[in-house]
Amino acid sequence: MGVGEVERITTLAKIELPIEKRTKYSRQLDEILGYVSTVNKLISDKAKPHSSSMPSRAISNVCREDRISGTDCTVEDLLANVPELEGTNIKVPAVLGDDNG
Amino acid sequence: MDNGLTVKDAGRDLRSGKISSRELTKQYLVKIKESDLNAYVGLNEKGALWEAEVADKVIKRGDIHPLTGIPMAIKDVISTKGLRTTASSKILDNYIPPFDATVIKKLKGQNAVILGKTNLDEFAMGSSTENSAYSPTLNPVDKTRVPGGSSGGSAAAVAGDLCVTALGSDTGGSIRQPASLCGIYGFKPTYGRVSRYGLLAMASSLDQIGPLTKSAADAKTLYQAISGYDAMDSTSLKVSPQKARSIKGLRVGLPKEFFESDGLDDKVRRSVENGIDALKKLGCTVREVSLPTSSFALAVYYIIMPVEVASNLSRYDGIKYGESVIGHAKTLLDVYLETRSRYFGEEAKRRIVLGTYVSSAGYFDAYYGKAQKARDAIRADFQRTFSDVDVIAGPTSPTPAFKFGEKSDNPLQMYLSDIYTVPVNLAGIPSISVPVESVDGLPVGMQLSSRFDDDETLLNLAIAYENIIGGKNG
Repeated sequence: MGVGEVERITTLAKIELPIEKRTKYSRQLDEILGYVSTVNKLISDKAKPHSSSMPSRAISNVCREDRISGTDCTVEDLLANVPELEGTNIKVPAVLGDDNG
Repeated sequence: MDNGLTVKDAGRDLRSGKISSRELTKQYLVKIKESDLNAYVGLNEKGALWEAEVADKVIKRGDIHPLTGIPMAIKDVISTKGLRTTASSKILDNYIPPFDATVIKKLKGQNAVILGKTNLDEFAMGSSTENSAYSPTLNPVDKTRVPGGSSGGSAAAVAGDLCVTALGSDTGGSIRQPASLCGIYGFKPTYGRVSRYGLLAMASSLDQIGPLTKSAADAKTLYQAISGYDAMDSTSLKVSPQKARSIKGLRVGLPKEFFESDGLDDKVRRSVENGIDALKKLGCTVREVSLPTSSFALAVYYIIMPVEVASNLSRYDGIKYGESVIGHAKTLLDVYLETRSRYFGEEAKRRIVLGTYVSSAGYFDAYYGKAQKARDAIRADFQRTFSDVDVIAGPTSPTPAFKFGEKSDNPLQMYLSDIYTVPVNLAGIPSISVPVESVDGLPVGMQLSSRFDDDETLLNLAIAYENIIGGKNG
């Protein structure tokens, strides 16, 4: 993974890295990616993708009513950790900058 | 090294009135403050003493559960209502959860006492606690060495007798590897048996909460206390657990790939082989088996886990909770970029970048898609092996505890210390690390794993093993 590629990925991941870190990550991630590429040796044509640690027999869809349950938290409890509040609204900077009108 | 009272011992003393929970709790709080291990990142001093007083009243009434009045430590990645929970990350430096994790509710239901929150590698990412934002924890057996990780604080607190017992979490070995390096028991239950509600997510398809204990009997007590169906966790198992089978005659398989791997220390191998001889004395039969996919498991893990990390850690954006630069950022994008860049540590960033890369357009099929297929092959391999044997035994970690700084600049070397533990998480099966003979004064662990949902048989085997080697409650 080149330094430019690291930069592209950090933009996607919403992280900024100084140039020396991008160089370091580029080297380290190359080594890790080289290692993880060995998975190719394991794949047969028959293999099906699996995203869970459970055997299929233990997995079922879990649906419930769209209703709050299982908690005694109040709105105030939940808002207590919010960095910037205005009343009971979570405050965020404008999504569009001034120069975008 | 004597590591003090087990749950069984402390329960006996509390019931007989030899000591009160308040007195025991006070003793532990004093010891923690005098300790230089840095096992804890936060203490629950007032809360613990209050909980202990309540427990003493409960004990007097005779309404006693196995954990009533027992002073415990909780890995600081498990939410505790009103008690700061940091995941050892600067991004949660001042986060106070408004709710208890289900496991904490269950402990409080038994009137257990929470002494405090223990140190870990940031967001449970690491094998040494060197990735903690609050300095590493020292191994109580040798303070120049790491306690393992990521549940290194919990392991050191148990091994150094700074609590009776502790909870940790295990995504790729984070309970078993530190248990091995500190000379205690560490159990990762079957995926879905213990609720993950309130566990700060690292890789949701792999994370499990479990106990770190001074005895195998304690591991079973803790497991029974924290397990069970929970509607708040959509991956919680609804079916009743399998019944335990008899220990005598259990077939134990030794994967040749585990014993032939290059990185395995010779002395560790011999020590584990002696542990296996003890299993034979219990009436288990032992044979060599092959798990050909195990050599690829770490590679599969280092694709799947970072993808889930990148997704789970996207919630830390400086808006809803956690540290934030929002007060002086110009745009929303600046809030995201500056908050995450400033407050995430290096390993968290590395895994976020890796996970974003292997799941991004153009690379998804080559990495994440293939890893998901390989995961199925690993599970099938275990399933096939478990048609011939009941338990798989081997080393927990290829080496004893290593020195601080030895691997911290080489991420791949650090990842390799989880080579035996990671396959188990990908297959979702239960697994326990039990102490075997030390090597040059350093603890070594043997890993025992059983079929999906066969936790009780595995724990009973560990208890029988402890009895035969003359462990704490043996």
